Amino acid sequence: MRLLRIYLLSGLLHLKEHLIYRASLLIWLFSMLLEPVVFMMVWRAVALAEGGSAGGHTQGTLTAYYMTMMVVNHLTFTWIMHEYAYRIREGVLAGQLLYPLHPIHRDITMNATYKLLGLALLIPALLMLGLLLQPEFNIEPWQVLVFLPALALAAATRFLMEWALAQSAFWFIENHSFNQAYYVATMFFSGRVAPISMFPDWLASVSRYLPFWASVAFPVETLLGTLTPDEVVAGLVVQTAWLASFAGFVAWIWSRAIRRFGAVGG
Amino acid sequence: MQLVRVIGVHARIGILKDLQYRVNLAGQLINSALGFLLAIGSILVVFRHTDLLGDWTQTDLIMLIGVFSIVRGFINLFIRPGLEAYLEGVRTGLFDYVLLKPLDSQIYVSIREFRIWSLVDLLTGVGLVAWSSWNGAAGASIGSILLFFVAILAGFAVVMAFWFILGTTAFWFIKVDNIFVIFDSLFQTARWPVTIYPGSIRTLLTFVVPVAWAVTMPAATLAGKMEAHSLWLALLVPAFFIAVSRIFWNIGIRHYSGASA
Repeated sequence: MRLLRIYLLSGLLHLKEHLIYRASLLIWLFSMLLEPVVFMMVWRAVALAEGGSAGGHTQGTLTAYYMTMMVVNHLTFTWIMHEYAYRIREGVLAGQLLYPLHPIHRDITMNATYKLLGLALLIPALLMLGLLLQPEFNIEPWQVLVFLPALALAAATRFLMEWALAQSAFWFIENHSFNQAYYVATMFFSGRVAPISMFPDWLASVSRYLPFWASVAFPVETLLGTLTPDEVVAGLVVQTAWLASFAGFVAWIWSRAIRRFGAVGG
Repeated sequence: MQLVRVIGVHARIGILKDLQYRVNLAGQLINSALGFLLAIGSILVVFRHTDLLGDWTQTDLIMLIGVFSIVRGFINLFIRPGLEAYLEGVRTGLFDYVLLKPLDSQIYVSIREFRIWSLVDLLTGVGLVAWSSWNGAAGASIGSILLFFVAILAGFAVVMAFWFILGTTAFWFIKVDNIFVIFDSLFQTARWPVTIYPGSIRTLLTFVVPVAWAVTMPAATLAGKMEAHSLWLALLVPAFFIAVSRIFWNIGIRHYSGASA
């Protein structure tokens, strides 16, 4: 109950904070939306070159895939890994530790409010792409029903995973290369470079056990109905397993990390 | 002649500065390797499903990634650091000292900072271009190699002019750090030939945000996809962008009133 009130209040605060930087907000969102559009164009060109369909995807379903990817990527992404080294170095964290609350809660509300504001650009972008490029959605009601919990699990998994990895900043003062390695892995295995089914079969089946797939591509594929009911159940199990592991990992690594913290600034 | 000496001095200072931070070279090597992995991996996945993307083969695209790397290395070697220092200067008033130097301010801003570890990207790019030309990227010949040098120099000029046009807005808006985000995200589109984008976006990437001239054009030249006569455009467009950036800079500079005393 107390936590709920805190979330509400700090949510309102962060909403106002984000709104101060409206221009930056728009620019960041634009750059995030451009990446899936580029890969959408690449795959549409491939489908076109192959007479309308490549690897079982047509131009229309590829467009639908990347439009859904935009939504899911927006709703699940975090920027915590890129910020954490700065937070430690500049003493921002030192201040946050003074609150009688785990700092992760602040990140949760900050992230959630940003997502909410982002919809203001995401929705018009989707409408425009939808009008211009004729996506082919074949969505059945049960897919939507599974999509929502899959999306929630994905967002939670990705948040905890990236929050845990961000703690690496306590060990390496400059963790840019580490973050870059994570970025490359996530580009491939979360279905952003290509739908996982475009990979060679062995790689695709390995990918379906990885947290990258569980935290982004799985909800996308669930909504679009490219998975059989068995695969959907398996995916939900994989997601739950990763979520539980990362929850444990966050608790464990935070208690280690915080012991390494020598306060900077104030 | 004097300009060459000034450039030489600043390059030397830049080298000496970066040699103090040799660990950064390791970071740059890792980042370049990761970027390479992502780019080549994406191309391999795409070419599992097709033999030709537009009229580009897999080897052609690897060459395009090489050109992309070269241009990115060139940008990070001195355009970006120079512009960062300039933006900082406009905000803090240190830009006063740029104006006091007996050298054209626009030229001085663009040559005064060097980050030599970015040469890693540039050399990786050269390696990729050489490897793919050797392995038969469509029509690489002596003629196309010569034209390639012309085209890539023209590409450098366009990119530089474009950065300046973005950067000059600082004279009005003071804090424009986001131009780096804008450019980086738009520049990502250059990892693929502009011909894969639909008409309106292609026009945008050619004439408004000129990434097409910087990467696709030199790569197409080397692969023998360009008619020699259309190279005229490849020279006219940079000239146009440089003229615009020059005029804009001179208008902008009159709005600079100094930030300190």
